[in-house]
Amino acid sequence: MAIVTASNLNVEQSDEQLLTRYSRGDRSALEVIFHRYRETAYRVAQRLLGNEGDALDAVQEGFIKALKNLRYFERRSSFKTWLLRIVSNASLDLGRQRGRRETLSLDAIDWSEQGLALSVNGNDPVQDVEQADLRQALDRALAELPESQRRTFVLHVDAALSYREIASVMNISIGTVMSRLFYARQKLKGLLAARMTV
Amino acid sequence: MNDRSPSDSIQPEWLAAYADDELPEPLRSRVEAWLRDHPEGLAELFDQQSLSGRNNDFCRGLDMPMPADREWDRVFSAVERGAPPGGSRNGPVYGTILVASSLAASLLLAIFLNYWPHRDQVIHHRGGLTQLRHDLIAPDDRDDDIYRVAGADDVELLVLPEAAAHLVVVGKHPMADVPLLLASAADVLVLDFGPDDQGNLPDLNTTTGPDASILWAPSVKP
Repeated sequence: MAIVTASNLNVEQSDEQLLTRYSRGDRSALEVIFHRYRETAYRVAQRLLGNEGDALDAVQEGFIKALKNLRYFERRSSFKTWLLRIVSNASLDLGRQRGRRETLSLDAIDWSEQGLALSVNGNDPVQDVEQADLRQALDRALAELPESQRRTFVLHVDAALSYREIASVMNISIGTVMSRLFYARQKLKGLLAARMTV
Repeated sequence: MNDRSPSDSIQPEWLAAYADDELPEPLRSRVEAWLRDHPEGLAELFDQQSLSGRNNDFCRGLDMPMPADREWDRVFSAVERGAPPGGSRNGPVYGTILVASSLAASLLLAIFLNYWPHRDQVIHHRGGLTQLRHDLIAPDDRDDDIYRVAGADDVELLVLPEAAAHLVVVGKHPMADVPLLLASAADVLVLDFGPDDQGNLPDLNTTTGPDASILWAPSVKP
């Protein structure tokens, strides 16, 4: 019978505790940290890149860089903001290297071959197509935004970061966060007017 | 000069931040005072709340397809290989190289700044802070030797503030008669400015349009 301890239960372990365990060579701590932030990191990368494969590459690169350079993590911000800073930088670098590719049409993807799975509930084909259509519309609208506005918006909406956290991630003032978010929303309002209902 | 009445106009982005419950003091109190003096502004506040809510609902309401477990497993394996728990065996060597590279890069920057004199410095004293605004020019003596102490491959940038992105030059040394653009007008939000202790207002670039720029360099001893 497995013995349940605080270290292998992991439920209430803080990032700080997990990172300490990781730095001592504990693989399970790395698994928990990865599992805790992989989806948020992926959402940010996917929205910035508009391409699933590139987004996974950015997440992988971001995690490796963040963990390899933990000694530079000053703990003034959370691990989440440190990780998202590196993941979003990696995403933008990848985007510049490869070009922000046109979002793949969901219809064109063989999900079994891509190794990706729709996590949409219900499996209603009509609803899935509508969702895919809306996602594409959002990706196209986001691609219209200047990079700095897009990054600010994505960190706020997809990573649920506060203004202060975004300022920390991007190393800008809160006033700049306010301004970028405001103008991003105004522009998206125009671009998505027909899609957004009151 | 800076004592403003609460009834002064406010920026629309402050109202949006207030609607998000993210506006820090003292701007928060200023917006609240403005709303008390301008009840018609409540309609604008509700518009911002509605827009913010619709944006968030729209984006968060879309189920983003997530990678399958085997894709996550592949990525995790790569992370584990790239950043093994407990650190890699060659960590200390790598660290030494990184420290040496960082020192070399600092030296290069110091040389670069010494060789690149500054002009038109305007010093503003406000609240005990000294800000230096520079126009950067190329050195007079182009025969000066420049010693390359680190290459692009020697340095890994972990964090690069967006506003400083244009400071980084990979490749040819930037000795040219061009201004060093650190931020465009769209990147900078001026919330407030005032005179220095001689009563002079800052020398702001008031050019408008998409090409307008604000030149801003970090403080460097002349």
